[in-house]
Amino acid sequence: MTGKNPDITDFKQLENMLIENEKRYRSLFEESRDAVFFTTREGKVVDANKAAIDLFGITEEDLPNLNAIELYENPADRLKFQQEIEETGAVRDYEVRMRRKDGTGIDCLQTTTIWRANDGSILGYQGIIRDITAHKKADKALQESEKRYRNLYEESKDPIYSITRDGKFIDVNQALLDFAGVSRDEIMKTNVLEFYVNPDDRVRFQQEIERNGAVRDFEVQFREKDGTVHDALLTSTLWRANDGSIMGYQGIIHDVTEQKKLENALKESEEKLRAILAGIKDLITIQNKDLDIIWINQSIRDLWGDVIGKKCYEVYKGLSKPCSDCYIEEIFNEGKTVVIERSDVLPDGKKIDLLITSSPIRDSVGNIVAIVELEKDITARRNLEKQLKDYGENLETLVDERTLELRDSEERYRGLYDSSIDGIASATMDGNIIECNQAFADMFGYSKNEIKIMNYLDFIPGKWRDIVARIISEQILPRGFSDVLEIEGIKQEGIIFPASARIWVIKDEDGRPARMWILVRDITERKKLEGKLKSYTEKLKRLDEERAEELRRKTVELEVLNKELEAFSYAVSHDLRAPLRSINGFSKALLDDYIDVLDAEGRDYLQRVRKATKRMAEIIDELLALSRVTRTEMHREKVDLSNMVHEVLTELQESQPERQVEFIVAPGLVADGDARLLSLVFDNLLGNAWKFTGNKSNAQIEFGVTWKGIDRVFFVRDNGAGFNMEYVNKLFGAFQRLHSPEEFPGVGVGLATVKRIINRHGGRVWAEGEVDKGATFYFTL
Amino acid sequence: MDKEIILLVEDNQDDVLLTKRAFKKSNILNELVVANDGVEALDYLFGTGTYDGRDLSIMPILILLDLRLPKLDGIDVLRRIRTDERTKLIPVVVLTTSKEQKDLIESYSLGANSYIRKPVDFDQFVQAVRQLGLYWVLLNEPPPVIRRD
Repeated sequence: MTGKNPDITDFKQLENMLIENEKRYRSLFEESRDAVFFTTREGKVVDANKAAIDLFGITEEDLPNLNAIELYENPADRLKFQQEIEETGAVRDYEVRMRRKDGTGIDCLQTTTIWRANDGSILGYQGIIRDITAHKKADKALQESEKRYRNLYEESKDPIYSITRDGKFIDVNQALLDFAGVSRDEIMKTNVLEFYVNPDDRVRFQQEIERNGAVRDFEVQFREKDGTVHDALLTSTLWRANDGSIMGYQGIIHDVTEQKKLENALKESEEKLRAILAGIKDLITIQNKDLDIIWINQSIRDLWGDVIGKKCYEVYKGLSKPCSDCYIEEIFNEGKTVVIERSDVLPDGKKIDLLITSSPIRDSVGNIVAIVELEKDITARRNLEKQLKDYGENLETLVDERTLELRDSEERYRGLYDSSIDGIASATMDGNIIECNQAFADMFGYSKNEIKIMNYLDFIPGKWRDIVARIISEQILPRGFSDVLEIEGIKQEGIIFPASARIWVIKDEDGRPARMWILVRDITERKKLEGKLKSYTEKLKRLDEERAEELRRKTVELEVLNKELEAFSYAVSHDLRAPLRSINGFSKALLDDYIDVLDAEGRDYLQRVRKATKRMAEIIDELLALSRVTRTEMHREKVDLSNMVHEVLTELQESQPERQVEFIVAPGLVADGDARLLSLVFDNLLGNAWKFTGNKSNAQIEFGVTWKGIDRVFFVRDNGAGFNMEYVNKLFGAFQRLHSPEEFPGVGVGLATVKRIINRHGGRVWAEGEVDKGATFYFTL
Repeated sequence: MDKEIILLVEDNQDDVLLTKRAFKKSNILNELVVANDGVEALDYLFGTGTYDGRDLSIMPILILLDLRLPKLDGIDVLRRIRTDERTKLIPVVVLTTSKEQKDLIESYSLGANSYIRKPVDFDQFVQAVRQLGLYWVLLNEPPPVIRRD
């Protein structure tokens, strides 16, 4: 500061003192780190120190032309300052915003006093300006920081506290009040121990924090005012006084109640998940990006064993490198879920169809870390689907076939309708004709078009209309169709003709009659024929009756005849025999009583008479037998022929025990026939064989069977006298004999009897023979 | 005199003669009463007609009955004999020419004791009569109502 003190009293001394002062102040002025100014009241800068020049970014040369007002950012501030200083004489620590030469603003603090002349007049102002920009900035930052921390403190969701060593709260934030469930006033009166569920925790906490200076995540349980218990983690530091002594603790309570709950829930959820996974029969496998199997469920374990850590393609596919169609990389890249179906062979050789769902597994930040594959056995479903498909295809085929059939059917019926020789027409339920076929039109003599505007009653003669109406209400409406009606029709030209008709109705979807169909046939010809037939039938019937009458008459005649024949036979048997007995008896009487009067010749004659009577008696018996064969009724039954032959042969052998005859009888021959008559056949045939082998030493009689085409032929063979085939035709005639009674006894009706019996059985009998070689008699039944 | 009577019902006189001869040849000496038809046979048995008043305490020990008889045939005679208390136990032997099954069945059905067909050959007839007599007259015990003095 350059100043001249004009008041000089002790000039020299004063001058020296002044010089000394001047020096001191000059130095102070020059060296001051604060800017020092001397200005006129108008603002002209009188002097300024180096600090001032630096502060405002000006030069020494600028000073003479510089007005102080230019250094204020807001010039009004200088006026305000000037006013205040002139009123009070000084301004202290006036904070003002000033401006450097380059225009940048600076915060300044001015302390200015009035600069007066010795006479007390105001020369100007002298002031010190301090740049407080940096200070102000720091202060502002501090304020902001303070505010920020205060905010943080107040807004923190975590409870924050300061507390004395003996548990008295100094400061708490809102979160803590919420946490403790009390008001700010209340908590200030409450000791922290009251919040501890277990007060020992407070002791442990104090020991730990005072030993280590801090605790981190100290686990405690606090009880809220309403009794709710919180799990909490304490993080706390020591609060020391300036002298280093421990005043208390400050810290944050981390309420982990929810977290604990979550943890428990998570644990539970995990357990559940584990149980669910264990219960799933589907195959579940998790692979990482390198295709290592990192987790499997029990189903996989059961099949492949513990395969964790192995490559999926090695285990599941038996390959040495990844499958060609591996999609795991795709999932890793695109994060999508892939669903495929595939057939696989399990380690146990079972072939199965799988539905495989492969999904990405992400970590907490969303990066894909693995792939989970859920493989569902859908073999059964596949089979079902296949069956379903087969059914579907089958059904389609059926439908196609059915459609074809229907088309065929439609064509067939259309053809039938068009070509039918019966008239067919359809009509509304009122009887108005809708359409008809050609036969219908022809039958009534109209064109098809004419008929379309007619009513069915137009085709029926008047006398039939009521009847038809009645039939419609009594037959057609209740049951849908009529009987075949024999009525009459009327042609266009008025000709009435007999017709047979049937009417039926077609119902609509609701079951109401919608349409009638009428089928008509012209039965004129039939009626004519029926008339003829009737007369023929009657004629025939008459003829039949006549014939029946004749038959009855004949039958009666026959019965009479038969009776007569029987009577005749009876008479013959009695009346022919009686005289023979007389002849024989009295011849014997003659021989007995008159032996003396008879010569040898006479006796011989009488013997011949007697012999003749006996033969006559035999003939009569045979004749009767023969007639009996013809007359007796047949009783057919199963007959054991072999057995029957045995019996007859046994009888024959007994009648002549001395004879040696070989019997050959085929066993088990059975036939249908009348046992009594067949027995007679064998009596005769075997009797003959026995008789005609009488002269043989190696006699042989055989009964057997042979086949002629489909006919079973029985035979009786002997190796006896045989016969000449020339006379074979005479064999079976009555009383035909090929040998004399002297040669072989017999009357010649045996074979005639055989023939009659066989014929009555519907069979044939024939013979082969050779003289002295034997004979064979064949018969069928 | 042996009172054991045999009744022979026979219309053919030759047969009567031959039968008697056969009896004689066979040494059967019983009295032989001959009825020539069915009616006469019943008259004798029941004391009617020509036999009116006959002592009915005397009944034949054997009846030889032909079937073909005039007036009333043998089957009817047999039926009457078997239905009457007085005669129903008397042995009846049918002695006839017929061998018809119908006759055999009817005779046995009505209670004939035996059925013999008369052989044409007299030697055989004698044989038959001999055996018949031997059996029915000598061996057979007559039923108790017939008195055998």
